[in-house]
Amino acid sequence: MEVLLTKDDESEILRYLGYRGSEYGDEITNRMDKCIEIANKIANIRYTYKLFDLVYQDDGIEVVGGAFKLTGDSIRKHLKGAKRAAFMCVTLGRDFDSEIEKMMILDPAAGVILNAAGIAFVEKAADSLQKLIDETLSDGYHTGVRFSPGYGDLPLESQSDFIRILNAEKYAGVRLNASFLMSPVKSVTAIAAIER
Amino acid sequence: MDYFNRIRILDGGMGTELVKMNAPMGKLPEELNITHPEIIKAVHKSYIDAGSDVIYTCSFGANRYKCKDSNYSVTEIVKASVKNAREAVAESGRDVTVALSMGTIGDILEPFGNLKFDDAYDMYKEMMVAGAEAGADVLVLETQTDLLEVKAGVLAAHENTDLPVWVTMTFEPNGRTFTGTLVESMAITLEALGVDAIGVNCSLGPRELLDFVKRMRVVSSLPLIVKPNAGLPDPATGEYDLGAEDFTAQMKEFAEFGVSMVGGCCGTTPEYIKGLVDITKDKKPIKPEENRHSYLTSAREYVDITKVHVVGERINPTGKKVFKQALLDHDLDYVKEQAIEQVDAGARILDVNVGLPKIDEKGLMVEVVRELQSLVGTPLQIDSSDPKVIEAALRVYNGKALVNSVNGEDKVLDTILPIAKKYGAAVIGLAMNEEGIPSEAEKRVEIAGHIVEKCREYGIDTKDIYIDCLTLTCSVQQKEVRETLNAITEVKRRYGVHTVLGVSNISFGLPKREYINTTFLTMAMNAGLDLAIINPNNAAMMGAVDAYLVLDNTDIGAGDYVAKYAEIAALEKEQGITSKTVTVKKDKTAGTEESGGGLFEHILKGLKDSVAKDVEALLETKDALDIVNEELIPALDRVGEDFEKGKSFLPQLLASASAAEAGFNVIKEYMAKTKSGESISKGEIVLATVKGDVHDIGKNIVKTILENYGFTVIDLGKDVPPERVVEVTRERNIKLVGLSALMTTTVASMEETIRQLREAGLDCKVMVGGAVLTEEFAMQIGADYYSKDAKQSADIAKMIFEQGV
Repeated sequence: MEVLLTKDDESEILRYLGYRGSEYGDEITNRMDKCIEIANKIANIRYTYKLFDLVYQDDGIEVVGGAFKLTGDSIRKHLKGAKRAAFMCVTLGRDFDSEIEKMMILDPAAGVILNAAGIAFVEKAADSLQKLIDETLSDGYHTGVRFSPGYGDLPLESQSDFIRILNAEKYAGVRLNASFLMSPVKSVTAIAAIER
Repeated sequence: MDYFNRIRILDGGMGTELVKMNAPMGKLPEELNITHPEIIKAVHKSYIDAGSDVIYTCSFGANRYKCKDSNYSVTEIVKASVKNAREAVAESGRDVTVALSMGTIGDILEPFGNLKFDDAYDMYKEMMVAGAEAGADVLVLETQTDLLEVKAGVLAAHENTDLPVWVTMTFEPNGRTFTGTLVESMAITLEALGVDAIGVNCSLGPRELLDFVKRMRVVSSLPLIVKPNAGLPDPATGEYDLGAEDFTAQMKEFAEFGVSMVGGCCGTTPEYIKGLVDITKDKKPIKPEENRHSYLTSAREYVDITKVHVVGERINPTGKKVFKQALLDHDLDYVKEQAIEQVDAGARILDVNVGLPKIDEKGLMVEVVRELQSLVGTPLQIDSSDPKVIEAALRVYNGKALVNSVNGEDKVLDTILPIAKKYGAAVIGLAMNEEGIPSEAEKRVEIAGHIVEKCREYGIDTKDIYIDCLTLTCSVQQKEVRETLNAITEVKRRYGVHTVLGVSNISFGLPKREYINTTFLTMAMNAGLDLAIINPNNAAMMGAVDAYLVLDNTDIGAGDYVAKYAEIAALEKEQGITSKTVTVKKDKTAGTEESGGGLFEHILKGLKDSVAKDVEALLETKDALDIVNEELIPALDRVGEDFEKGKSFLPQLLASASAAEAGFNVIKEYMAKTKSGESISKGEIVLATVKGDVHDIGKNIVKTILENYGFTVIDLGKDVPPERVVEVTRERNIKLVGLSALMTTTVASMEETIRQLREAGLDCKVMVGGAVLTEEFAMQIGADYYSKDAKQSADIAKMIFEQGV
C-alpha cells in the first residue's frame, strides 16, 4: 500500500489547523512544503484489517469470533444492519510522533503543521486501506464510511477490543495505554460496514 | 548450558496448534493452562515428539496488564503453564528444557505512554518469580519491540532469579522494531547487560531475517536464536505463505551460519520442527572470534569507536547562567533544544550533566535521560559525581551508555565500577587520584593502569575503558601540554584502552582561544584520541575533527568531508553577497530608534533572525525592559488580535511567537551578562497535561505563547500526577496553574488535580483547556477559567498577574 502526502492535501491540512481563509505568505508555505516532505520521509505506514460477521442482539452487536459486542445506538445506526464489517488499524509509526515533538521545540509553527499533516496523512492512509480491502471483496460489496471507538456513544473503551481482535500490536505496532489512547498517536482504528 | 556444543531445536507456533485442536480461545488464551491443561500439554507433546529440545510455556501474555480482567492471578496462570510444560516433558522421558515465555506487556512505556519503568519491571518480576518457583529452566523474553521494556525484564530476571535469560525481538523489514530499536543496538545493549542468548522471532519469514542475524553477529559474540514465522501472512486470510518444506529449506542457511537455536513462530507446526531436526543433524553452532570493538549505543543508533567521534559537552550547567536557570525552572525543552542542536551539528554522543546545588539531581537526571533518549538517537554519556545519580540514570538508559567518570581512587572505583558492570556501561577513567593530577605522563599512565586493573577485577572489558589523560591550562602549565599528549599515546599502547579528552580548558586566559583549542585538539587526535568532548556548535572545532579524518586517511576519498562542506562553502559564498544587502536593509528599518517599526513588522511576519538582530541593535540605545514592554509585547498583542479576528491562523500565531522569543532570548542573555538579579519575568505559571494523558501539543502551544508574553512557564510535562502539580505549586508559590486534557477519559484526572489543589488550600487560580472541554464543563470540574485557545490563556495570565484579579 503506497500512500504519499501531496500538495493536493494542503486544504485538508489547513482544515485541521483551523484555517479560516486569512492571508499568509512564505513563512507558512515554506513550512507547509517542508512538513509534507518530512511527513513522507518519516512515516512508516503499517496496517492490519480483518473481516468479521456481525449478529445484532438486544444488548449490542456481537462480533463473531471476536469475543466482544459493539454497544450503543450510534454504531447500530451507522452499520445499518450490515451482516459483515471490516475492522482496521493503520498507523504512521512512532518516528512521526518523535518528529512532531522535535519540531514543536525547534519551530512550533512547523510543529503544528506537521501535526495536522499527520492527521491528514493517517486518514488518507485509512482511505487507501479501505480501497485495498474493497479489492478483496466481490459481488459488488465494498466498505462503507469509517466509524471509530469514541464516536457517538460507542465507548472509547472498546478500543482495546479493536486492538486485540486485529492483533494490532503485532502487525502494526499499535498499543493502548490505560486511558485507551493509542501509541503511536498518529493511528486510526475503525470499523466499516461491508455493504453493496 | 553450553550453547555452542550443538544446535538446539526450539518449538513452533502455539496459537496455530491451539486453533487446530479447537481450543476455546477467549480474550486470554493463557487461561487454557488452567481450564484445559490437556490441550496445552498435547501441543507441548506434539513438539517434543517432533524433536524440540526446548519448549516454550503458554504464558506469552500472562502479565498483570493483560490479565487484568481474568478470573485467575498472574501467578496462578504462570505456574499452571510451567506445570503443563514440565508434565509434558516428564511424560516424554526426554531431556527437554522448559522456557518461560514472556511477550510484551502491552502497555506503553514513558514517555510515549504512561507505563513506568518500575511497573514494567514489577510485572516481569511477578511472572519470573512464579515461573522460577514452578520449575522453569530458562526465562525468555520474546516478540519484544521495545528495548527499554526488555531491559526492565532483564533486570527483573537478574535481580530476582538465577535463571538464564534469552531475548528475541521482532523486526520490520527496515531492521528496526516498531518502536525503532535497531538490530545492532539490541545486540550491543543485551550483551552488555549479561543476557545469555539473543535473536529474532516472529516478524518475518526466515529469508528476511537472515541479514538481521548476521548483523547481530558482527557486533555481538552471544549465542543466536532464530524463530521465524512461516513466511509472510496474507493480510486478508492471515495464512502464512511458506509450507514446511520451503521453511526448512530457508532455515538451512541459519544452520550453516552457525546459530545456536532454531525454531518456528506463527504459522509453524510440528511438521516444520521435524524438518529443522533433519537440517541441523550434521551442523554445529560456530563460536565467534573475540570482538575488540567498543560500541556505545542508544536504542536507535550505535557508534563503533574505531575513529575520532565528538561528544557534545553543552548539556552541563557549569558556568552557564541560562542553563542553570532552565534547570531550576524545570525547562526541559531548553535541554532538549541543546541536545537537538548538538546532534545536528555532528555530535555522536551527548554528555548529560544536570548537577546543581539544591536540585534533585537524581530525579532530574532520570527525567532528562528519558526525554532525550526518546527524542534524539545519540548515545548518552552519564555525567555525575554521585553514584546514586549514575545508577538511577543507567537503570532507565535505553542502550549502552558511557559513565563520566571514575578516577584512580579506590573508593571511587569500588563504588562506581560495580554499577557500570551491572548495567553494562562503558566507563571514563580520569588519570588522577586523591593526590591530584600528576604532571608527568608516566604517572598518569600508571594511574590509568590501576583503573584498568580494577575494571578487570569487576569484569569490565578493557576495550570499554576510556581514559581521560586530562587537559591542563596551557597559560599556567605550558610544559605539561606535551605530557597529556604523550600519556594518550602511551595508555593506548600499553593497555589497549580507548581515550577521551575535554579540550577547551587548554586555552583559559589566552586571547583567540579558538586557535589554541583547534590546534590542541588536532595534536590530541594525532596522539590517538578517540572521543573529543567539545562544543559541536563551534564550526572550527568540528572542522578540525572532519579535516583530521581526511588527513589521517580515515575518511577515504574525503567523501564525508566533501558531502558536508561543499554545500556549506557554496552557501557561504552566496551569503557573503546577500548578507551585505541584508545589513543595508536592517540599517534602514530597525535602525529607526523611536518607532522600532522594523521589529514590529518582523514579529508579525515571524522572521526569527531579523527580530534577534533588531533587538540587538535596539539594545544599544534602549533599555531592555522598555524593549519588552514597548516593542515585543505590543507586537504580540497585535498578533493575538489578528488571530482572534481570524486575520491569521495558528501557525502564523506561533511563527510570530517564536520570532518574539528570539528577541526575548537576546534580552535574557543581555540581562544575564549585565544586570544580575533583575528579571524580565512577568510571573511564574505551572502547566501540565494531566495524568493519563500523553497528548501535549495543545499544552506546548500555550507554553510557547505564554513564554513570549514574558511569563516563566514551569512545564511539568505530560501524564503528570495531581500530587506533583500540588507539590510544585506549593513550593514555588504559584499563582496560576494551567491544565490540559485531550480526552473525556482524562478530564476526570483534571478534576482530581483541581480537587487536590483546592484541598491543599493553595492560593492559586486554575485555567483549563483541551479538545473536549467547554466553559460550562470547565466550571463544573472546579476550574476558575476556561481557555479556548493559546491566545486566551495569555489574556487570562495577563489579567491575573498585571491586574491582580
